[in-house]
Amino acid sequence: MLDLKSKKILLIEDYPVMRKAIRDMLYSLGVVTLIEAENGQKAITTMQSQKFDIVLCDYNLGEGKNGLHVLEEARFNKLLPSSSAFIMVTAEQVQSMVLSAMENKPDEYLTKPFTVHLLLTRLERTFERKLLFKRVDAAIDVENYPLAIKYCDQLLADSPQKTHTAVLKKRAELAVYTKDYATAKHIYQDILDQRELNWALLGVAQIHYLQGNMEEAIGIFQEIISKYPMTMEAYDLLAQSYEATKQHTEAQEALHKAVQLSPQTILRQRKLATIANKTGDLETAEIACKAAVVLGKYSVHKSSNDFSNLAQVFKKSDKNTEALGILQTMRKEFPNDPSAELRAAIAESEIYQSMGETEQAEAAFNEALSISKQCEQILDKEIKLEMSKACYQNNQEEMAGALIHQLVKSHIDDDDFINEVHAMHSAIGRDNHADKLINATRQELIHINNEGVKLYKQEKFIEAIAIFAKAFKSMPENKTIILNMTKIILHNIKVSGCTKENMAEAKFYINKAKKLGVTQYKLNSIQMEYAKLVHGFNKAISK
Amino acid sequence: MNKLPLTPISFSAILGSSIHDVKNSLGVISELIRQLKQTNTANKHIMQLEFEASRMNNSLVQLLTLYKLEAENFTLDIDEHSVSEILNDIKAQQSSLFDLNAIELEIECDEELLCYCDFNLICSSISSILNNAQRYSQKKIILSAGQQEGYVYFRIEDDGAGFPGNLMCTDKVDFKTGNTGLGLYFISVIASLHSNGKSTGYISTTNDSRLGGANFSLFLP
Repeated sequence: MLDLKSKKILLIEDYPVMRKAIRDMLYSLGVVTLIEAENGQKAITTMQSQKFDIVLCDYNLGEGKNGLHVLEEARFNKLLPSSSAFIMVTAEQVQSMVLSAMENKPDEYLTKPFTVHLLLTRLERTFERKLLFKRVDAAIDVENYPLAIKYCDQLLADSPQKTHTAVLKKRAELAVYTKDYATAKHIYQDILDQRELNWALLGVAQIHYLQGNMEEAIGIFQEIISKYPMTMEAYDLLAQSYEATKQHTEAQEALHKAVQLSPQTILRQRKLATIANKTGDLETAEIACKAAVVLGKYSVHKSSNDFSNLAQVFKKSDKNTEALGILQTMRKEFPNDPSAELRAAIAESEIYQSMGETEQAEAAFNEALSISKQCEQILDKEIKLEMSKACYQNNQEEMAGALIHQLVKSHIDDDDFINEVHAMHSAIGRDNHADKLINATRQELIHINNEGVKLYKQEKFIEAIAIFAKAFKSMPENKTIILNMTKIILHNIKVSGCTKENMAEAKFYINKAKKLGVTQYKLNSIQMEYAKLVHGFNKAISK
Repeated sequence: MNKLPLTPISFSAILGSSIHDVKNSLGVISELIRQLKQTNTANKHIMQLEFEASRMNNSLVQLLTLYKLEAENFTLDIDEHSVSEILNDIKAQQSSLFDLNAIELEIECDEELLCYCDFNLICSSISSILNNAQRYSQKKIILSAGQQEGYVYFRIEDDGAGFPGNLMCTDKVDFKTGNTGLGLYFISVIASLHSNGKSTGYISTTNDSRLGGANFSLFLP
């Protein structure tokens, strides 16, 4: 039997009678450490200060966050270790796929009313699975995919036959993460040869999508939707495939269907709003933006962006009063948030401009300018891009140019963002300007990189480091430069020996890379190398 | 902000929302019964109440699922599952009732047996058949599973009086035409939604139980 004495449990339930009933059940199962929360916010606060092995959460928590919000926030902010179990308690048998997105699946659903035996059986089932994948999940947690794959392969060799399909599913997902599409496809195809399973079909289609075979991908996603109409993921991926082939109307249609079937997901509503904006379907854009604003209220994904997007849609539909109204609400909802204030000011300036209220437009733009200058450090790239657009429109060429220059230099290897920069310039009829800058920056980056790598191959490490250090000064947020420089610094230490200085230097760049959001996957080998050097260095000192 | 557009009312929508309402009330009743039980542990009437409430709940769950199937917003979530895990789950769902009526439940199953199904739906529909079986049995029920001609079967055998004529069949029968309990109709619908190529799931009800009573079997491809 599962030992519940050593497990720390969080019970989230708003209805006191029910809470007591479940509490008694848990105590009768030998539970010792039990914390209770009567609403979602309290649950989150509790999870921020302590880690739980089991979270038992009612879906319906009255006013405020519901169970799904709690799960979403806990996963998003990494409040739940992969070894913990999240059990969602619902009033009726739910279709899990409708309720939540793939990444927000609870480990288990329990339908009320349930017996104490059923609770125990489900907990045992969950922990049996957790135990099976313990080492794999731990490796995935630190994004060490090669190790996770190694453990998966061991499981396939050693664990009982009845676990194989589950292990293969995870193995295929890992193959997709590591872009080993051939292996993933092979696994999915093998599964499909045995039995047509929804997730294996999705897997095959997803690989087509990732490899750019959009036509095949679209065909399979459509097949999945016609056979299993509640597979929400298929709609999302179908929309993405359409988008990739610039079929915006079809993409919108796919998302629209998904939203009708499962209206509770804020990220999907947001996506629908974006696409509807592209197709010029302002009515749909307005509905989706409103939904995103409403759904954001208790969501970890709440963003001032949804408010300003809604304001933009209102503006496009000549509903200026509504647009200004929603911006006012936004300022109230996001007090002391410079990004929100900046977004509001930019939007207000545009709206007043279109209403012919030049003075008010200018005042709003000046507010935007001053926020942008004061809070440069904390503003994200998206809002800076918006700001540069506003600058162009207000004839602040120099300011706009400076912003764009810095953005392009820092994010030249982020294709999605560079596309956004390009799109913004197209929208205001300045294609040329952006293309020139982007191409020049790309050339510069390639040139520096080639130069550095050449010197590295000639074993002129100091010179190579100097080249990258110079580049780092002009593009301090460029991930490629930081990664390559760190690799050379580490290699140089290996060749010419550790000093306090060069070890500190290596550490500085590793931390910087982490801060810039370089994926753990790419950092792993570097960190391992560094750890080895530290180990050697300490040994040398102690001698 | 604009008002949300009203959804057109249909009979099935009303049915769906009524079921929700009744289910919520039942939830409260079940909870009150649980509390009553804590102060009157040995009271047979309270136990009977609990049993009836759980039966009503099962029926509503099934109605709700059938309603969703009709409304076409329902897809089975089929994956490979361990049959012994399914049997354990069913046993856990029904265990307090077996304690109540002092009926022995024997489980027979190969640990390694696997089947393709919607875990929750299959557990809850077999569970409600088992719930019925224990109403009519004397002392013992066998819950077993195994393989037969390319199908995985789940079987419930009891030592009661057996199925009455109108609920009995030896072959694949369309329960829509007969006068049947909701539980049997429900599980036959769920069975038929499990298919693999040309094979489709089905149920059979006979009176050749090893214990002398009714024999219910569910076959999944």
